Amino acid sequence: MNFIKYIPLIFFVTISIFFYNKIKYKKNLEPLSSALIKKKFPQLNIYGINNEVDINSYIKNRSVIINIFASWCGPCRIEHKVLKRFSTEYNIIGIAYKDSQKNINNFLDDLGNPYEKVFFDSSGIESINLGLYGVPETFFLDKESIILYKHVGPINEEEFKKITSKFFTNTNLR
Amino acid sequence: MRYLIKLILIIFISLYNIVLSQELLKNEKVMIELASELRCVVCQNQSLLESDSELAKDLKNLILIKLSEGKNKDEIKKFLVERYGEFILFKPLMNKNNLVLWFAPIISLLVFTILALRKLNLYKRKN
Repeated sequence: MNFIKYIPLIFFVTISIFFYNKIKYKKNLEPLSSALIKKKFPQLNIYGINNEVDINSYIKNRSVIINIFASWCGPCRIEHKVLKRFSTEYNIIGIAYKDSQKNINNFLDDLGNPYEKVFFDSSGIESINLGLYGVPETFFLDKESIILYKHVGPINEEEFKKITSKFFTNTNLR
Repeated sequence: MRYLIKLILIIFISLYNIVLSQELLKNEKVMIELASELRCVVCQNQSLLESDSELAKDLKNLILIKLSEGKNKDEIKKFLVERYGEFILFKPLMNKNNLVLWFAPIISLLVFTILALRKLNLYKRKN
């Protein structure tokens, strides 16, 4: 029964290791909502400025990054720099969420335009089909319009690089 | 004659309104019922019904639209689960992934009852 006196020590060490690991634990690249991952991008009733083309036919057979944003959204402004930095490398498409054309134009005039094309979801109802939590959100799609990854919240440069290097190989780029 | 036509029209329109409002009230009731079973994805400890966030309002509107299109509760739930994941349901689905979740309480109750009874019997015998 000699070992009984060591029990508190063992207990303490085990708990310490547990907490140390918890502190050190880094969140893996795991999407907040996995419901749409590996599924096809849904059919949406979202059109460009002059209603000339809908988003589904626009992204057909192309690997794209779709960013949902709004001019009234603060974090979108922070994220904007990152999108601009990568706009030459990737096809970035914008969905303006609950916003007017005028405000979007001002927003893009002020901060620059990283988008190849902007589509409008003025009512915000269509974005629910994308499982939207709130703006900004970014979707990474392959050529078959399969959603590879969804990022919720403003994306930073490091995350952007990590996601594109993981999911976008040279073969499915533009 | 003109009065009669007017009267008939008035009766007809009010009847139509009553039917329409009944339908809307019914949908509203179903929506409230459904919204209380769903999680608001923005304020995650609130139900959709309690939540006042923009997205929750949109989702409630969407439920009303779907109900008026003739969709039933289960179809709407399925629609939302496909988009937001099972996470949006307060009550988990009964499927093979959730079997343990559903039956663990009953099984543990059974196991511990048996253990307790055995222990009690032992004590009784000793006494």
